Amino acid sequence: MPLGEVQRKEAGLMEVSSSVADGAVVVTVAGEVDLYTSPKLRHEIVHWAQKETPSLVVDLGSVTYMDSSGIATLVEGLQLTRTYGGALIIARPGPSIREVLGFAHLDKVFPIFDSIEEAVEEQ
Amino acid sequence: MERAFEIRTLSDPRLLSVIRAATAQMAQVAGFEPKKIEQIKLAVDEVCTNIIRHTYKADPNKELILVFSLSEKGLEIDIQDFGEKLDPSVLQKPRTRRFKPGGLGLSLITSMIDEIEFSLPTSVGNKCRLVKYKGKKQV
Repeated sequence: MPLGEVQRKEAGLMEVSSSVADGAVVVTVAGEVDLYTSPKLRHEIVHWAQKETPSLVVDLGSVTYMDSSGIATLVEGLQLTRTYGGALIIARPGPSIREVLGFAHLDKVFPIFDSIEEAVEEQ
Repeated sequence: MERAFEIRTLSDPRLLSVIRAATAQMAQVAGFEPKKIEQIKLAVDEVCTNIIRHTYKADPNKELILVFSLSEKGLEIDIQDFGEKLDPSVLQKPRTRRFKPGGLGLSLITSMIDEIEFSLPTSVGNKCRLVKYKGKKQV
């Protein structure tokens, strides 16, 4: 099933768009995630978590930078989805993002996949 | 150390991207490899983010000064704010690398940089110094 874009939100240096694929919601993030832009990502993740989306895939393939604000946003999303038995899955993080996730030992907490297809199939 | 570049800016989160870009460019001029440039950029960003969030309590109109100094060994960055003096006890190096809400920023800084010194003498506010070496950490 092709991905169907349902909405797009911009916050300066970061863009967030959401798609639905085979029952999973894919939140695609592009650009830099920091103190200024992370609230937009948080808003998007909370939006889908409030709908109790079973499988929330966050595609980081086009993220060029992420600081602790972005990491905290992902952790909050993980905690929210777990409250109703859902899952937050990370797809396509680049090397620098992987380094930050690994440093915080979050690479062992989040399911992480190298492709969106694999991440969607994980549900 | 040769004082090379200074940024005087505001505590507006929108300007963090500008600070990061200048930091990355400065690290490149200093001769760092791409991976270390990313680490320096992240450490500087986290210090500024902490100042904006905690010292200035999200007020976007406070002043921040970053001074970059170069040497053959590496890069030194002094970051000064003009907020209330911080309690040194909250600035101890974290004992754990595991994620705790609000504590990750300081952990990231200490892991990305070779030396960090908080509470440098300053008449007002707080000043911290980050040092990154091009080679292995100096002893």
